[in-house]
Amino acid sequence: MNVLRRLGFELVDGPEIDAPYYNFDALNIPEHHPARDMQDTFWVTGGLLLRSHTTTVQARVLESKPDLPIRIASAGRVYRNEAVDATHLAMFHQFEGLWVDKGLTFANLKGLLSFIAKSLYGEGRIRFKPKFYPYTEPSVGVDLACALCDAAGCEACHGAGWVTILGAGMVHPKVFLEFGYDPEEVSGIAFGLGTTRMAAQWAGVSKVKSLYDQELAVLHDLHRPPAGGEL
Amino acid sequence: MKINADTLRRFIEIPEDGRATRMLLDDIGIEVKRHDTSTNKFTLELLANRGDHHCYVGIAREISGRTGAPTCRPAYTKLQAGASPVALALNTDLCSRYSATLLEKTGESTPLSEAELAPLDAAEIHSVSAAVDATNLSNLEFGQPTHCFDADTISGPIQIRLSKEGEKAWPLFAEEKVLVPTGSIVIADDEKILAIAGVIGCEESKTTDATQRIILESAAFDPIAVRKASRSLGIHTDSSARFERGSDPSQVLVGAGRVVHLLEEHGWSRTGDTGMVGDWTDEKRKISIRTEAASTFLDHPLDDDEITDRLGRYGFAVEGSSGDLVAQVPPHRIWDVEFTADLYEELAKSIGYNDTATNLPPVDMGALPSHGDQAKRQVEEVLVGAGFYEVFTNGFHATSLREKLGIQEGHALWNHVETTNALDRGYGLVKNNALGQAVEAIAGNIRVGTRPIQMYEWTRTFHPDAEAPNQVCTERHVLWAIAEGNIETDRWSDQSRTASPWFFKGIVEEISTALRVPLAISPADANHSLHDCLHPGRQASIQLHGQTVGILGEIHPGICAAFKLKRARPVYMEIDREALLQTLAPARYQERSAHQPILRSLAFSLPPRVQAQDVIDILKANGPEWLEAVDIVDLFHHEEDGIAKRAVTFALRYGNNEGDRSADSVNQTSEALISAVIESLGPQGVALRA
Repeated sequence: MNVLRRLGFELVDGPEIDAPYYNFDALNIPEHHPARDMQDTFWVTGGLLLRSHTTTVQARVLESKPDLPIRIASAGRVYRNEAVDATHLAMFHQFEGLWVDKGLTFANLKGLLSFIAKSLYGEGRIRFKPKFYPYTEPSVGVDLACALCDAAGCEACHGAGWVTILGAGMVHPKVFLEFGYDPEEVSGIAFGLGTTRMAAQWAGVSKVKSLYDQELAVLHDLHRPPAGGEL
Repeated sequence: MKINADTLRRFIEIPEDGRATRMLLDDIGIEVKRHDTSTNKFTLELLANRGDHHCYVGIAREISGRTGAPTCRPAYTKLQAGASPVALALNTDLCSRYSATLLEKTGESTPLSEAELAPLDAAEIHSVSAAVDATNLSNLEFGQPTHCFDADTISGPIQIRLSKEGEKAWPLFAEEKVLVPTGSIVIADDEKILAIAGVIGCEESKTTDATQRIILESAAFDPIAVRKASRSLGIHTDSSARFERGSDPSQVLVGAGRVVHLLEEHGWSRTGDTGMVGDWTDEKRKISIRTEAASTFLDHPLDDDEITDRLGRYGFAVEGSSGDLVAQVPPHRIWDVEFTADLYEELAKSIGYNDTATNLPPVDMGALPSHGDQAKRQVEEVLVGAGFYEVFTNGFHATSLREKLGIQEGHALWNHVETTNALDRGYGLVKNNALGQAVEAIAGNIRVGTRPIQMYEWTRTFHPDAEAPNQVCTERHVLWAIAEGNIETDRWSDQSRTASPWFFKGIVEEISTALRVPLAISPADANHSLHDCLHPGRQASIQLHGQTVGILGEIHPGICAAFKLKRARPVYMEIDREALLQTLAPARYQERSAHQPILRSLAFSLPPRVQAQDVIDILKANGPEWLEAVDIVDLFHHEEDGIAKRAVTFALRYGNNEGDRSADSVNQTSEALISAVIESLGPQGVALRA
């Protein structure tokens, strides 16, 4: 958040139990679309759901129609109805941002993502790649060169050479239309970081579940690693 | 999807080096999850909106869009729609095209060659028979699912219709017939269901070694209908994966033609024309794109010819001139290309996401942390400074946790918001308190021998509330902390102390001081929902402006027993976040007066049941506005007539900013205050000490 504040972003909160409209329909994820499979959802009584991403906050902000430019970030818990194991959790954390204004471009999207990546990870090499997110078009993934092999491919990065750190894109015209914006007039940049995965990468933890186990011996070592030792 | 690089090379030129191919595929959005260098096999993660990527032709086209290299297609028989070899009855508009081609065994049926089967081998699809292998191959190559029926098992016309209520089918590989979801598209004859359309064929019409005549099906089914049927039946096939993402209706005869071509080379012959029903026509969707706008959006110089060329590589036909162009969407992209932004994405991919410009947009100025952000950080500084670790618990409760907490029906914490589809039974209830998980965390740490334990969390609890705006629940934001054991062991003085309610009282006071929020510790509030979960004699409420905003105290011995906490006495604290992060008027510096304030001391004798705070409240309420502060400066325990009493001395600070306050006026004010205290509390035994 400190990085984004430099660009004028403010933190906004939203409910964790929300209507499917804000989690799916308003974000161009209609019922029965394969994209709904990307986020197995916890449904709760009353036809509501536990949000599967913090993008619900973006939807609510757009609905409130604040003055332009909109520069907001949201962070918090999200839920996925998955079988829990060492690397999959029913709850984890996300961090997302939204910038809406007149005249934002794909080049601006890349510029913002580069700024965020370099602010968080230093001067490591990054690359952009096409992705699909229902609420953005075009959509972008940002990879960071593996710190161990510098993109050559090694065991640690499973030969990929790159580690995905960000997902982003230009706000989809359908999302703008849903909330009464003219996509010919305004454009937007949306981006998200998997803070759980980032924290695990930072700490050198391969199994994210250990970050959520409330085991103080582990947390102690994460904060104050034993001299010369690795987790 | 798994593909073989050598096979892909038959469709388009790709780098010889496997790593370079991997980089190329990543670059166009076909992400390589694994590259087996020994077999040159790539495991791909395909984009959810790109059904057309589920085949070699589609992948080759995507590569061509980036590299400009020409693409090749495998040989296929050009089928003509004509007189159908079998009667077809299309009775649903959820199938836009359905074709049937009759093939007969006219020679020795030979299996497909090893080279022909290479794509199947890479995709880890087992070889079954020439007919089945040919359909699988056609799907992998062209992305058009097809299916073979044994023609001699079909009685009457082939009907493409919706399933009726209670209708059953016998899907391939199933042990028995299953109920078909009502309204699913099915292929049926007069007696039975031949296939769940787009999902799977059925046992009763499958081809076998004895099959002499085949009806080859190739069709375009509605994506949502296929998806619903697949999910309802729990049957997921390559065919359903393709149809769910939207198939290309223009490929119906091409896909069938590829199967016919393969089978004709392996002992089968086509008989007659191909029957075709369905009203699909290419809608020729058109999207306008302005050259200047595209150049600006990508910050990349483009002209009409370049846009035409680049979009053409993906199959878009572009018309127009002078910067005003119109692109016609090809049939394989009708499901995902609708806006000009979609065309921008195609151009960006063609140029290369890493080869377009990168510009941070100009910003006017940054933003400061909000008061809430700052307050949260200050609270964390207090807690971390006192030795607490931040932890994260999930948002659920198992029903067993409710029992461990001793929550009975009718208790404020009995009702929960419930999940309706949790895969794990432990996630059946959405949590309505944080204490249960806090005690669980204590128990978990003690089990592994970790002590002392100090942890905190900012979390939410969820409370059923039909009156809430969402008519289901309200969300309460809380800060909780728990401690157990000998804490503060790392102090320089080597003096530790045991976690207790007094320790948390100190924490609350530190938070109060840090935030300038006047939190007060008061006697227990029986209305707090956690009141019954804490030791009845070792708890207190946390108040703000007379309202309960939190609770602290020792965990109830019964709960400790339920969690098998022997010889452990955890202490818990919880405060509403809103109370901590409330916006305060900004602190402002006030010029100090050159005149000293006037101080007076008043000593009262208080019986046990009267609190010193009660006296302070009366003094402040009755004092003039220039009574700046009332502080306790001395406490003395004594007995009067055998009754234990406290002598409490209060220091009163009277402002004298202008230097015009006389001693007489101050003394008169003090006398009035003494009278007010005695009048209010005298009947309870409060008296002025000489």
